[in-house]
Amino acid sequence: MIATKTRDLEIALDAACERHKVPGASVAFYDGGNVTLAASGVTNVVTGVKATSETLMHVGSITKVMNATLAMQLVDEGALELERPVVHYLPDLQLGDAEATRTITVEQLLNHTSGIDANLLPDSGHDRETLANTIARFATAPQLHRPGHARSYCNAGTVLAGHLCRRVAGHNWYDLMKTRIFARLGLEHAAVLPEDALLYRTSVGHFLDPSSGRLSRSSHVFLPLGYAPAGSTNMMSASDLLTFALAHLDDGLAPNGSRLLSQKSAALMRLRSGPVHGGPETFDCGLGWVRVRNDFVQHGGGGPGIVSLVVIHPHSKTAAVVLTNAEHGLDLIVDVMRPFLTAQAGADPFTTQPQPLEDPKIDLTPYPGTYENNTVELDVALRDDALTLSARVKHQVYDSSLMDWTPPRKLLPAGDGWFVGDAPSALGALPYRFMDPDAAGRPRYLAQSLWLFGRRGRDES
Amino acid sequence: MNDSGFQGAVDSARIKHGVPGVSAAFYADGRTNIAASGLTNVATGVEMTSDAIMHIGSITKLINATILMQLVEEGTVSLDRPLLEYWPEFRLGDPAAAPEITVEMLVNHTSGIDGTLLPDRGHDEETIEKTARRFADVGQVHPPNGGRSYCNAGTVLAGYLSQRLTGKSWYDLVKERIFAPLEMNHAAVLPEDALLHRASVGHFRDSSTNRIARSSHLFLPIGYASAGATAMMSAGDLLTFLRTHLADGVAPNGTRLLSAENASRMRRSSGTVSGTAAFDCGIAWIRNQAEIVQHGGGGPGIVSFAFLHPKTQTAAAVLTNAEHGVDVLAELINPLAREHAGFEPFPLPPAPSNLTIAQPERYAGTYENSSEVHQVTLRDGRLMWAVRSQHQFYDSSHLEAPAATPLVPAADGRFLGDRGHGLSARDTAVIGFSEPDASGRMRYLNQRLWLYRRVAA
Repeated sequence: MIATKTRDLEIALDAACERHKVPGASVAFYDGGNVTLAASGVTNVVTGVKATSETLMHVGSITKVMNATLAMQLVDEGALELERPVVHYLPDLQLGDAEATRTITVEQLLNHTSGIDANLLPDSGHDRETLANTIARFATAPQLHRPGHARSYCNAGTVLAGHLCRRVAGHNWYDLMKTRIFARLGLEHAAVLPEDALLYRTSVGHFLDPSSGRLSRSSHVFLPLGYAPAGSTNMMSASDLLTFALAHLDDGLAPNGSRLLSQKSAALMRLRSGPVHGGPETFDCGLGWVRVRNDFVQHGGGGPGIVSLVVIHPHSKTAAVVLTNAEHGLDLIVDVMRPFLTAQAGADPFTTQPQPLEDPKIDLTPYPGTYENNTVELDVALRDDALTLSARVKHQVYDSSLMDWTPPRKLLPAGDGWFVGDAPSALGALPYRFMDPDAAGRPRYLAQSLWLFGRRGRDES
Repeated sequence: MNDSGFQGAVDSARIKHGVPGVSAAFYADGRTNIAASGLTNVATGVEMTSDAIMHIGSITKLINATILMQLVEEGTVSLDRPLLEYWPEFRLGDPAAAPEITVEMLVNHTSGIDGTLLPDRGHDEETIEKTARRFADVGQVHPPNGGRSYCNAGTVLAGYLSQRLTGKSWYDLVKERIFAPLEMNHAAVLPEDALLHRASVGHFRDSSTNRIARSSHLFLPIGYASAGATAMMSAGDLLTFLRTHLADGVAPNGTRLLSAENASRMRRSSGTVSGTAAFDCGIAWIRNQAEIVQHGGGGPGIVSFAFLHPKTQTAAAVLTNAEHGVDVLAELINPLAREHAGFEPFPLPPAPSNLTIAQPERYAGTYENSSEVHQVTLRDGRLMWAVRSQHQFYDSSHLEAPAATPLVPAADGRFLGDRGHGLSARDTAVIGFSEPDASGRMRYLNQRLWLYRRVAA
């Protein structure tokens, strides 16, 4: 397979970077026969080094699909069984909740149904941010929901899955990623360790100050390193990430002819997995992959000042990767991917936002309360017959993290439990959904994007 | 030399010696000169600039020792107290040695702990604390204070001690106590922070094809951070640190980093060595002739050098991203040091001589420390020499000893050995022997800053 660079794609990408004030982006598309690459802008606004198709950029949580692939390789080898409780393999496992410690299965780690509430913990500094230390910190993590009873995007589950692979395979997780994923796929512009990334032309994240329109380089490069299997450290070129996506598109067979995964396991990763108890679900997923509309599977990635996305469409043999080095890069990704995917697959994976109702006649009294997970608190209040939402993060993760309560924004009813923010802001413009009402009709959870936030004081469903 | 003259000198030295990238800065006659040349990385082709950060390697030991001296100044630690007093769990392979080791011995290379480098255990296992605890299994090159041999282990322990006494990570100490007050904005001590900058990587030259290859790894084991595994900065920022020592603890921006007394104490000879001293040193500073204090740095495919001459208020830093960069260091440093201090820190090896060696069997034997083994044998009445590495740290590490080559007597009583790497004339090994036992056989071989103890015939 030969990768070509088309001038058209480069021009489109240059224009999109300009339009969306994104410092740098890298794109790789596969249309069922050919790979097309393009890169635009700079790796870092401070150094001014140009972004190229060989530049390593953060892939963020897309790492979770690779981490799930590692686990499925071990399933293929008979070393792991998805249905087994994790504690069977890790007898010393200790979570905050005894039932969770006893019952969480391997599969629940990979399909975001474990409910372990440790989305991100404060950075403990280089020497303390090891995988083993992070797992030890989960000993006090509460549950957002009972294992298998709901689905909320769960970093902790993937970190635990990475730790499990490490213990079962007897190698450190970084080496597993290098030998079992990068080397088998023949990747040449990929690094999973910060110290290896320096060998390459590398990108860093950026933030846009909305008032001045100025871009600034992120003050730190990675999320806490102890979350590596959830995606804090992994960097690669769009082209190398596409190679990984193509191995999945071809049911486990890599473009270089080596087998990454059995056909059965590759297919299983894309099939719907859990939850089995009919609780609230914020999204549909397989193992690692997130399932979205029109038969696309995908995964997004975030990090300090970065956004990335990989999408595959098995029916039309289509795959697309866009990596950006801006916190606000999502609009660029949609702009660049949508025409390509629509042309290839006749549809796109991007959902449209719910719209506020013209004349809502909705009882708002069940909704007020404080909804939270371990990193974010959302305060929903009723003021002057309108629902308002204010948010804050509990610990500083990004330069843009809002540690103070945001000013309250109105939530406008959009029907069926959905609400939308009345004005663009860091958090308020996103759609929200109240879910899982208790006997009194009060929602146990508020969902936003892929996350559930539990109402403080809720009863068990 | 003016700015453009210095830029020209850096360009021509870099090109002449086939080095991918160089960054250099010097301060003399009250003026600063900075120049950068070449590439940060031959694989990416990204240009070197004076803002690019480069490995400084063991020059980090000066930063590490400065932090320790700040803690001395604050009354947190005393140089003459045993380390065991501050860290009761401190253990060494030789139980008799541990109680004898003082804080000062950690930073003046007299502790004798044989932990030059331990094998890399992989990312999550390479922490400063874990490395400090691993010394529980290593032996001694010489008894504490019974010699002086360049000692990474001591500096790791000094870094761990600073971390332990302050309750902060060593990396944060460097950022908060050195980089921030000196306003070093192009400096990183954590690999992940280095990615914020235009960063250089090391290179090796294949001596048979003359081709330059990027190093396959960036750093020595990261648990050796306080000995110099991770720190990177621009030559300009390193010069800022050097000038702070030149001004007896006051930084160019006016901040006092260290008291005048402690800054000058760092440069005075430290320790009372009863055996062989491979070199003279203060607290971290290596003392050269003509009142020059200096420190070199190495790493995977990099060499660097810094010196001060307080008498004439001269300082210089040269950073290269090639294992064979020593000729560039010599070409840029020697004229400067000669002009201001009348001395060249990079002398050529002594001349070979026709001296007849009396009782050559006195020198034969296997001499080693934990990272290198020197084999000296007698063949047809001639002394032969071969050296090999104990662990693979660099792309160029020789785990198998190359064929033995003759050890040639030099005019000054030492011996010359051909390393056979074809790097440079300056790569000729200059070898000495010392401390004969009752039968006249040598207990130690020394080469550059290291001692190797005889372990077998």
